[in-house]
Amino acid sequence: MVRDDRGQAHALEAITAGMLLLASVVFALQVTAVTPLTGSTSSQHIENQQAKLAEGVLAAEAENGTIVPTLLYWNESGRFHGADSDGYHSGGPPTAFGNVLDQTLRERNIAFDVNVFYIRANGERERHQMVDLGSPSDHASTATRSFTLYDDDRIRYQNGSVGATLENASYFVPDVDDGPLYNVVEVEVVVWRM
Amino acid sequence: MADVDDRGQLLLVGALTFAVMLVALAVLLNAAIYTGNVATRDAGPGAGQAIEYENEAASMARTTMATLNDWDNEGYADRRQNFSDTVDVWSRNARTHAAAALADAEVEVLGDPTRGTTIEQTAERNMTSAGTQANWTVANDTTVRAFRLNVSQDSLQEPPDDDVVDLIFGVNETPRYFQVRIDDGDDDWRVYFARDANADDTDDDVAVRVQHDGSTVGDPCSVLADDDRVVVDITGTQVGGEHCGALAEMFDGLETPYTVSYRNGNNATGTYSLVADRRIDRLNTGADTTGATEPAATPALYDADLRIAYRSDDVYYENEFRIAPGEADD
Repeated sequence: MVRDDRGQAHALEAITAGMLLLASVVFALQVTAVTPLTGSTSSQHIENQQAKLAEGVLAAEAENGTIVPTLLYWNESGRFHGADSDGYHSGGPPTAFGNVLDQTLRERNIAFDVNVFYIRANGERERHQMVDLGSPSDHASTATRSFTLYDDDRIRYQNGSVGATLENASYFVPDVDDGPLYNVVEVEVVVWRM
Repeated sequence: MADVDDRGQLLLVGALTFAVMLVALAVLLNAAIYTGNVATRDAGPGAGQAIEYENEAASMARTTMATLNDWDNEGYADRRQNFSDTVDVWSRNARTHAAAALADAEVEVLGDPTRGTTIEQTAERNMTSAGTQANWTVANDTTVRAFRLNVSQDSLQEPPDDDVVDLIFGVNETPRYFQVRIDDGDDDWRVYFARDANADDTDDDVAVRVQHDGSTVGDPCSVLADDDRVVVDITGTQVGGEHCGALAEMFDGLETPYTVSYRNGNNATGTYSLVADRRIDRLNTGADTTGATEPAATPALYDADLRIAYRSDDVYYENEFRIAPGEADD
């Protein structure tokens, strides 16, 4: 009678021990599966948010018409006004668009690069850096938007007043059309957490 | 002895229950976090790129058409060719950019753009015809777009007193106001231009009043003249950059085609421009169709149909649209 009771208890103990082991394994697996981005301070959610922020800045400023004047803020000696030949390094350009970039991104500890892509006469896509605040991290997000330049668009002087038309100016983007079109450029904003 | 055995069992069962509860809690918590993670992983199909492409294509087509219409000494064939060439070049270049985002994008001109005529007066002059007639037909049986006048306030007739009703139903001697008359065969719409006609404003304003078959439409639209000038955008339904309800009402009631004419053109000076959708050799106009003297009539494109297609890995978007920059409902 007593021995029968013991056997049952042993069996129960063994089963419980097994369950306990199994539960530990499940627990451990769940713990590791939680965050595939454990190694980063960033998260997918923040990346998406920053991508949308960059898209929003581009869309809003395209609507306000500040991006094309910034593209045309070009010193004919071969660089943007006040920039190095590979772009601005200390923040956005000193234009309305640059101001918005600084206020919405840099002041919230988000670093950004601005690249301008244009098409050469032979159809190649080239990149020109407008803003270079360093190399983007692995968790950077990008937003792009296309803009059309016309022959009668005018480059801007340092003080913002208008200068020669693109046809008659020395500009980094070439003319690709005999008609009124000058070129199609794509502005890319790359954002990442500092 | 029996007491101790009982306690051991209770402890074991308690500990087990506690452990199972902890595991269940952890599993639940992790499931919630994981769901949140998966939910934010996909930022959507990116339909915005397709819409953006369409907007940019439409804006390019409008600008190109307006610019090409300003180019001189070209017939319809050249203008059509230049237009579709430019759209092709744009399409090819924009496609290269789209390809970098793993998308294919294309825009093309459908059919031939409609032949029309630009009638414009670019130098300051009174609003008479090329043959200096004060009452003349600007364009017959047509639809016009981008119809803008830039008038000098001082050149306009002033009502006998500041009561705005006098603008049309003048007391004894009605001044002969400059007017744009638009007639669609059934209805007759008149747009009167007067100065200092609104008692609400101090003075120095330009007032525009619309009359339909003899009765007044809505309120007059008046703005203060800036440096003596006011821009009246008839098809854009704006006076001095502000919306004018009476003009909008006119275009709501107007049937196409209609005939546009000027009356009392000697009582206003300024510049103007409009595009009619009738080819120049079939147009009855008081403007100079050789283009030599003001106001000049020159061949122009009125509108165009375009088709865009945008394909990415999860969006396929195709649309046809028409552009007619500055049309009343545009």
